This record gives sequence, structure tokens and C-alpha cells, in this order.
Amino acid sequence: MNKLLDAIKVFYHKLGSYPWFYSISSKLLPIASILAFLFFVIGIIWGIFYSPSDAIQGDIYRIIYMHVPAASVAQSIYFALAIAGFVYVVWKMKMAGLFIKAMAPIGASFTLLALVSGAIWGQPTWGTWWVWDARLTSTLVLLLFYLAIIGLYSSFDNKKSADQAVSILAMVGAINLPIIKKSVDWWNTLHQPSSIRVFEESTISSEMLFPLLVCILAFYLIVFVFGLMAMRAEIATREMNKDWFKKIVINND
Amino acid sequence: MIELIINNHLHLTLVSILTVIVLLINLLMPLIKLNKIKKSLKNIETT
Amino acid sequence: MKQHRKNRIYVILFIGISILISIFLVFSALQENINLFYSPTDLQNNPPMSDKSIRAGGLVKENSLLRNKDSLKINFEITDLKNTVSVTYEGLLPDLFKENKGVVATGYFYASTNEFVAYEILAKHDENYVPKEVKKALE
Repeated sequence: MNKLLDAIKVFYHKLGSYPWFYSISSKLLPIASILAFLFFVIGIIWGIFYSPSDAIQGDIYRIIYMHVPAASVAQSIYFALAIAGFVYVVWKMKMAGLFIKAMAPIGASFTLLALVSGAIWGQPTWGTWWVWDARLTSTLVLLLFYLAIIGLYSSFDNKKSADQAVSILAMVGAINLPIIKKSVDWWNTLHQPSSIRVFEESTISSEMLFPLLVCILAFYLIVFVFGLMAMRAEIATREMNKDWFKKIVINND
Repeated sequence: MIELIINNHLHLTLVSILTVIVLLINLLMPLIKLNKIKKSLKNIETT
Repeated sequence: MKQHRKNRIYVILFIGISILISIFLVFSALQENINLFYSPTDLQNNPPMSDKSIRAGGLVKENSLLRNKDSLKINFEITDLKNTVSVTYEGLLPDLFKENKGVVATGYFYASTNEFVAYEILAKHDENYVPKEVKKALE
């Protein structure tokens, strides 16, 4: 038990080190990129061209293979930001601040994709591209929080105070996450409830569910890859004048 | 497959294009940022 | 004042305003119960004023849909399996509008006649996704 705790401690300290992260991520990136690309291609082609069309919606339901994964990663990234914010505020781990800075634009872009793809889907099926129901409004608020984090960060010259400020904002915004998740159950919304169930049978037939799960996994892998890349770029901006970073740049390629 | 594309699935095509754009932006932004820094560091080193 | 301080003030103002807008949106939604629509039972128990535009939602009752032959006028009933309200509407319908499927109508409710005059119809689809072939086999 103590050994495990020690191992976690060592890992935590390593995780806080820019040089360690920069070198380990360069080893992880190739394999993660290949996996992400494979799952994405398989999931999307399976979903769009080889899954059956829906009895009621026809082929337009296939937007689900991009809409649901985008919405899922958009919320998960924010959850990760809130945890990083907490870690930063409590332990002042600089990597947590860097994580928020690097991930916020990625989260914002996937939230926007979820909103716009939903609008394009809703326009012919519901008869409107936007309605102020609880699910859509709370997702818009998620986008506003991402934009606020990006804006707040860029308003500081001092990285430390920037990290501190966005950490607090990231934590505050986490209130919105359970609201998004449960909005379709708590209130009357135009948006339908979730089709993928964990503890009971999903309400989407398995021939459609499996490609959807592959697409969701692919989006998470893609976010992992993009996250590593964005964090490396951010490390480079913060450490460009440090010797360890110069050494890597001069020695490699 | 071809049938799906021809069958004017405008909405589906639109969402696919948007997805690709979002992925490309997220892919290219950090690459450009990192390469710029690397290049400037190398320039300093050689001069 | 230095430029970067000015910039910071602008951003803090922007954030403050967006948080205010968010809270305003949440509370204006709260005022209308956060619920997007009234069910027929809500309408019966708590009829809203007929001069205020509201949304009513539920299922399109089976065999209640009547289409006018010469115009785009339709009549149907919305049910929540306890109460029903009859709706009149003239205009285009979304793809998923069908009997036994979810619908959200925007318009005016007249409690005295239990009638709802809609000017917008939205289809509310459920969380079920089934392939065509499977659906046919089930029927």
C-alpha cells in the first residue's frame, strides 16, 4: 500500500516536470495518433456508410456519429479542466495551469461542433435549428465558459496569475456539467433523452450503437493526441529560453 | 456509398465538412506554434 | 493607464457581462419553469393567459390528425396519456411530425374551449433508433 502511494507520488512529481512530459509525450504521440486515426476512420465509415438507416429519420440520423462524440468530449474536457483547476489552486502545480490553457480551445471547438451539428440536425427533423430548451441553453453556457477561460487567460501578462484566475473560473463552471447531463431528465426539453444507457439496455439498436461507440472512442483518442500536441506547444512557449528545451531542439532534427 | 452522396444528403455532408475543419484546426494550430518556436531557436543558434 | 491594464479591464468586463447574460438566461428560463413546454395536464390544471404565446407538448394522438384538402390547415390532438388538448395549425410541418410521435406546438391556449391555436410546430423525436428492416419485421 505504501509502495503504491510512493509510486503515485513519484508519478505526480514527474507529471509536474516540463522536460519529463515533453520527452514522454514525444514517445506517446506516434502510437496514439495512429490509434486515433484508425478508430476515427473505422468508426466514421462504419457509421455513415455501413450502418442501417433509421426507421423514422432515414439517413439524417447519421449526424449522430459526429454530434454525440463531439458533445461527449466537450463535456469531459471541461470536467478535466475543473479538476486541473482544483489541482492548481490547491497544490500550485504549474502543469495543471498549462493543461487548462492548452485544452480550453480544443474544448471550445468541440462544443461549437456539437452545437452547430445539432442545429443542422434539428433544422429538418425538429423544424427549428435552435430552441431555448434546457439542454441547448446549458450547452451554449458551456461554450461561454470555454471562451471566458480563453479570454481571461489572454488578458494576463503574468502566467502565474493567469493560471490562478482560469483555475478558479474552470472550477466555477463545473456547476454547469450536471445541469447539461440531467437537463433532459429534469425538465421538458425538445432534445430527446440519452440513447446510450450504462445500466440498462440502450434505446439505440446494437447495429447503430457499435459504430457510435467506436466513434466516441475515436474522438477521445483524438482529443488525447490534440491535447498532447497543444501542451507541447505551450511548454515550448513557456520554456523556449530554458537550456533543456534548446538542447532538445538543437539535437533533434 | 455513392448513392448516399448523390442523394443530396446536404445536412450530413455539411456536418462532415465541419467535423473535418474542427479536426484540422486543432491539428494544425499546435504544429504551427511549435515549429515557429523551433525555427526561431535554430536561427539564433546558427547565427 | 498602460495598454495591457486597459486590455485586462476590457476582458474582465467582457467576462462579467457574459456571466451576467448566462445568469439572466438561466433565470428567464427558470421563470418559465425551465420547462420548454406545458403538458396537456399542466394546461388543464393551470391554464395560462390566452394572450400570451406558450408552448404545448406531448404525443400526437393516434387517429386524431385531420388534414384539410384545399389548404395547409390541420387539426390534431396532443395527449400526455392523461389529458388531451386539440390543436389547429396552418403551415409547413417538420419531417418527423407523425401520429404517436412527440410534438411541441407554439401558440395560444384558450382554456374555455380547450383549444390551442398554433403558429409553429416542432417535432420532438424520442431516443429510440431502430433500423428500417427491424421495424418492418416487428410490425
